[in-house]
Amino acid sequence: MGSRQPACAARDLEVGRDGRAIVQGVDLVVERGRSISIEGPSGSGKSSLLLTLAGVIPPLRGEVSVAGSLLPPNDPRRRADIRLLSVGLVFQGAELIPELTALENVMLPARLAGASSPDAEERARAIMVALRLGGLTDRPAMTLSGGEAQRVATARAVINHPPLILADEPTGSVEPELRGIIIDQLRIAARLGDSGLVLVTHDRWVASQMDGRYTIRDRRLERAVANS
Amino acid sequence: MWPLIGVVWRVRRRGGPVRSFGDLAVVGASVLVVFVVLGFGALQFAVQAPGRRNEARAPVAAASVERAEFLWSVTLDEINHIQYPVVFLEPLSDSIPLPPGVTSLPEEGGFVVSPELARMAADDPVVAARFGGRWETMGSEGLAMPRELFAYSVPPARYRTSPSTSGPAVLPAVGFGGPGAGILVVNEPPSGPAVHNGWFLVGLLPATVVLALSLRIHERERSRLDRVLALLGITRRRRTAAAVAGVTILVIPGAILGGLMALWAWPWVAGVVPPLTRTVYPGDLHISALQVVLAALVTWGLVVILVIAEVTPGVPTSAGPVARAAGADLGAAGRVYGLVVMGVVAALWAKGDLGGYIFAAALLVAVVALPLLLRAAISEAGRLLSGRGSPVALIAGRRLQHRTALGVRNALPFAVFVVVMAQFVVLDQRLGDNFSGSGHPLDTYGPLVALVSAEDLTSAAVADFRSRVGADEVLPWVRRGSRQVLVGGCEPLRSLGLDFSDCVGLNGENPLRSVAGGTPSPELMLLGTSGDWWVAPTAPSRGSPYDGLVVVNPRGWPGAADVRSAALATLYRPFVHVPGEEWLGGESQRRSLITWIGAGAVVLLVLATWAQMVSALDAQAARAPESRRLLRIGFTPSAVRRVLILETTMGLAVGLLTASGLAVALALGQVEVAGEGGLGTWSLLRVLAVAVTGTGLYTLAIGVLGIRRLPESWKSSGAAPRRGRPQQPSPTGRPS
Repeated sequence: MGSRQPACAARDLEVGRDGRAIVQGVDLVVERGRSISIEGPSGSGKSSLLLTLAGVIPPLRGEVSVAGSLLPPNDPRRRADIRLLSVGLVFQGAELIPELTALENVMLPARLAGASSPDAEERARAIMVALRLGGLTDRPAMTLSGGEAQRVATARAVINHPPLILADEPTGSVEPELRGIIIDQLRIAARLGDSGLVLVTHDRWVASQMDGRYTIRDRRLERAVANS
Repeated sequence: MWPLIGVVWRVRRRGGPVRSFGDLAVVGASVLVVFVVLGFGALQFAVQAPGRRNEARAPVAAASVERAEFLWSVTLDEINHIQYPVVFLEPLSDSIPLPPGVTSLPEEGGFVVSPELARMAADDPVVAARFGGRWETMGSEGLAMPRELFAYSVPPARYRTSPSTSGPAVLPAVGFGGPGAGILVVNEPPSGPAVHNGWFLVGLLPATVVLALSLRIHERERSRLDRVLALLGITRRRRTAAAVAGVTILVIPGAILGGLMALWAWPWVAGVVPPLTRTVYPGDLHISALQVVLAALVTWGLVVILVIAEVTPGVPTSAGPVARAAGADLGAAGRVYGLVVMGVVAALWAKGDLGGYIFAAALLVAVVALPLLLRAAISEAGRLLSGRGSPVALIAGRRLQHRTALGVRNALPFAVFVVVMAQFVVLDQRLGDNFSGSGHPLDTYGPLVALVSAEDLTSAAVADFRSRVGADEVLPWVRRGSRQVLVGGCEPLRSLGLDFSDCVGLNGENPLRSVAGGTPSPELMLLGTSGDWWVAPTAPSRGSPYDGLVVVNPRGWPGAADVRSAALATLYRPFVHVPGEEWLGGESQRRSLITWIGAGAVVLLVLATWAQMVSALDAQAARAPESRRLLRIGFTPSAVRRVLILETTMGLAVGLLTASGLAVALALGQVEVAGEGGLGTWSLLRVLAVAVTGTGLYTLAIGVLGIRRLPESWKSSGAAPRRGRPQQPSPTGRPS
């Protein structure tokens, strides 16, 4: 059942903060193995939409399901459980734990999801090798550069093979030459886990690398250009 | 759950020197809280212990003389101005129950004396002669206090009382350990709410604040970890449990260490414990293992509350940990601070002690107001500073104005220190006034008033007592709540120094000190030390017994022994309390108090410095990213350093002014509640001197330990880029 379900489905979604609607009428389906970008001006609600798809923010109206599991608006605990197992989050700020090594950071979601330490380590090493991060495994996170930290965060996001990967401006704070590497890694990661990828960005080039492009305009999510 | 705890532990283990100091601070604060809580508990127990031991040796009255096993009576003897009870036991059967500490009845005319009396008798032939050279030593279980003067005797046959003619002071009894009136514990003034207020002020409150501040040094790290875990999908309950587990690892060893220290140290404490003014003897502050466990649990519970308050209910998505740490208000520390104070006030309210309640309420207001006052004052100072034009002043001023929490946290320990120490100074001044201000050499002229209470104190009994006592005046009083109201009429009140013309103008009941006017008489001053006294100029008709009598006599009175003899001869179960007797030993008590106050000041200073350092490190961690930003936009390292110094010292200076004002206000309130008239200029100057000295010490501590280290964190940080390089994200991804 799981593989047939879309990575993410939103219906008549209304996203907001403090009871105020920012984005309305969102109907979106992201199939597994597909990637889309969401663009829009600052303050248009891109990140809020992403956090709603992740279950961090409950929607004001409508519903979201991840791999067929409905995110209950009034049950933060259930939403957190679904997020842990089914969603990989990548942020503009990598949000690594600086006291842990890169490997330990990548292992963390697997351990929290119940994997044994050897199993989590094996998976983390494999993913880091696949993402060409093998040389960083034992480096403390506090010694990583911004680009390295972002790539490690990508590896962390896919350790549990989530059906859905959500990335919020993953290239927003790295130097231009690193953009390609990070986007490549996200696409590889999505392919590895047969995951759907939703990426929020200001960067037209980054958006052009996705399978589909959406824009938020006048509080509405509109399909822009089909890249492929 | 265990993987999560493992992560928390790993993060804590690799935290670097600041984290190590924070861990040490939490362990130390746990030691401190457990130690203080146990001391406080032991003191409370010790205060009540004499009463319990006294009850154990109180006689159980027989239903009738015929059923009595023995006759029980008491008199008061005196050695070196110290009065002590001598209980006479007259057997009515062959085998009678024995009081605690007595293994066998003495022979007729013999004595069983307390260890202290035995020591005095062994050293002094005059004392030994009082016991006819024949005495045995009582076991310690028979004493209300370890060094108590106390004796049992069996009177010779020729002095025995006939059961059929026993008076009100002779009780037919069947045993010991009964409820009701026992033997008076003389020369020990009753303890009031001072024990709560004083130990709360000097012990529990600072210790709690130190614990809360010590925990806050980890707040940034906890917030960051909490945020990441929440984003990854860890529920609040699991995050809370992990955070609690992380802190428990530190608190438990601290609690155990504090408990062991308390087990060892508190039983050694002896002497006058401020502000109890009751003598504590070695061993009185005994602490059991169960109490240690309870204190550790209380401390752990406090920590759990503080940690739970820090775990965010949802996922923080807009404000990062640094911003939250710096921008939040006092948060958990302030809340615990307020809760503890409110708990004490509630306890005092339950006890119904009005004076203590008023003072505690004032304290509550002050404690709650202090952070708020500091917040407003620091913000305003920041506004003024930022308008001075220079970039350094602008940055420092704006930080103080808009991120006042850091400034408040920095100034608060020092402000609390100033306020508490000022109360110490006022307490010392009040004691000095009480002990030496009257100008009457009491040890020469003897006591001037005596307070007598008894059961069934009818008008006839009062008349009988008055005829026997031979004093100038005997004024009956009745109890109205916490008040003691003299109902003797105008003429007798003149003997208390009250002008007759003043008296006749009065209606209803009036506070004694308000009608005395001018310089109160010695009699009034003595009376004022024994409760809240009021007067009713018109003697009401009495259908019910009085609650007590005040015996007034001018100088030349032979002493309180006559009052005790008369009371024992005429009243039923009398209690004679002579305030002046306490004053005879007052000066030595004061000397002990001053020693304690000095030691308390040192302890408080250490505590406050500790708390200050924790706050400074916390602030240091919060300001480091901002300092790096300043470097990137063109500030020189020395300019950044000047910003830090200006911000820190300005916050402390504002704290000085605010705390000094509050200290003086509290001091005035303390004196007002105690009903001792005004606070002298000298006292006010001493309060201010404490404030200024405190400021100097703190500025020195901050200068030596804090400011010098503050710039190092941002200069030496590996993540700090060189000037001119493009901005890069920090390793954690947060733009820096």
